[in-house]
Amino acid sequence: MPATVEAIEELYRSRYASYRGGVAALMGSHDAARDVVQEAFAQALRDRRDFRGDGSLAGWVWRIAFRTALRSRQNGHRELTLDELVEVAPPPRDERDPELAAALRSLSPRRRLVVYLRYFADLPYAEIASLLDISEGTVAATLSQAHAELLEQLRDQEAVQ
Amino acid sequence: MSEIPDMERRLREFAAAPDDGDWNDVMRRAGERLPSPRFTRRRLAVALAAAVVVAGSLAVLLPGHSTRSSAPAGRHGPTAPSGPIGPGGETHAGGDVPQDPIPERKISMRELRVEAPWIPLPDSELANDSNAGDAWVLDGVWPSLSSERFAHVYYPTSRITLSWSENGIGVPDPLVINGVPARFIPGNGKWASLYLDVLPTRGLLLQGPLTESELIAVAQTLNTDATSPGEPLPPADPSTPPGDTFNGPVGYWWEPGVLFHAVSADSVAAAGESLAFQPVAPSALGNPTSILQTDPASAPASDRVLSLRYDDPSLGRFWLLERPSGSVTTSLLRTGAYDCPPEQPDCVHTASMVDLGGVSGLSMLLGKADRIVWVENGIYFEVIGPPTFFTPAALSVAKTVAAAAAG
Repeated sequence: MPATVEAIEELYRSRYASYRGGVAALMGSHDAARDVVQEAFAQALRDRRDFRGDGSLAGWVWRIAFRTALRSRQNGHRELTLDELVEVAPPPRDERDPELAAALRSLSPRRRLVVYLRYFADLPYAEIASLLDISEGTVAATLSQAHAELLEQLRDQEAVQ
Repeated sequence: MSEIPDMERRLREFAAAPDDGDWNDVMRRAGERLPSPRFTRRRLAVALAAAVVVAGSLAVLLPGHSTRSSAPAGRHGPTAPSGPIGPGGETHAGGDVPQDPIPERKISMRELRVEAPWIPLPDSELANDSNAGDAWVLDGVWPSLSSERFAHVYYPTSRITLSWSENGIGVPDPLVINGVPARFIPGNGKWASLYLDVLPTRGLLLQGPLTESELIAVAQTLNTDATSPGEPLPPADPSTPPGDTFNGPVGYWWEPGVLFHAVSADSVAAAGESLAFQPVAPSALGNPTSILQTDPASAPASDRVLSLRYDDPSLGRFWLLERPSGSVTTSLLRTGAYDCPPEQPDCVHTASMVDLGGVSGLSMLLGKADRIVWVENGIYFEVIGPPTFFTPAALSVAKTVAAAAAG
């Protein structure tokens, strides 16, 4: 069933900030993220008849957003992977919580990517698993490891202070 | 054990992004906002009417806009849900017609003339400034180009609605009114429509429960100068009588770029003496056949525009417009770029950034004509022509001008 303009608009209005936050984390730039999200939703509008309804509309648009982000960071003739995108993206910096930003920077690209998808893009485990072609169990395990590592980093920072 | 929920909370707070979405921008990028020049008249009417309906609906919904003393309420009114074409059900703002709120303001006719002096307004018994009802301006339809502000006016006595949009009609027009191609669509006892292709990219629609001759009589009084509504701009070539075709040699009120208080200049250099920028008129383009500029007595230098019209033996007629760039930047123009995907055969408009040799411009192919705009050295340039002015010609002219501006 093709997506409708109204459905895409409703998704945009209700989830825009999540898309922007998720893409910003992946790209390391809020400005670039805004452009990518706008372009991704425009692409979704143009391609709305291609949406088959065999997954969520939000997930379909997320895939478009990721592809748009990857294309915008294309390295020569080869598109980056999400992991590579995270690896080359500037690490997160945020004045509101510099300790957490520092802890995030210490994560491996794959763990950071899963954290971004879960908390910045607000994606459910199943969607993350589908995007990364891994099992939901692996998503859960990766997140668990990331949590543990983040906590350890934060404790270390507190101890230093 | 509470550390993980705390961590999740911190992550979510950390991830919070500004909620500064702009659905209009998405629609524009997708090509959903601009009506396609290949639209049928019915679809164009639907799009125009839908915009009016949206504006009318907003006027009801928005605080301060709830009192519309002169606009009729009810299903037959121009701003009623059934739209100006009548209650036939084809003007509802549904389907793919964008329905998101458009930044819309209700203003007086006086304000409209000041804010959007390029919009032609009538001065007939049926429709004039004195008997005009409400006017609305829809900002932000095409934010990088203020001259494409969409506006509409309602004249309650005659029940005429005037709409000014950013696109022309895009099909041959059998009528010519004061040099402007036009087409009349009978209303079959309801709302008749008269479309005027004011410019390749700008159109005006008059609608009302009137006959063809009545609407044409109103259209014949259209002018952009409130102080002398019956007078056209000074002809660029006084020896030539007013023509009756779009390609006629006379500078009418729709002469691009200088639609308000324009005066002829003897030369580009003479015009430059009262402009806020050094005008660019490459010798490679030959001599302009018309040089118009905003009357220095009517506008500050920062608002004055120069319009050079060329009649090239091979390229045909085109205009080069120049004005201070103001807040328009290349980045801003870039936000207007979009392309039609190949899988959408109905989509014909496209806007792409093009290289003009060191500076980027926005090339807009709008079905009927090409138009290239760019900013260089503090000047906003625009190359535009009639329907016979195609992409290669527009690009060639723009590159010539850009090179001259850079040099």
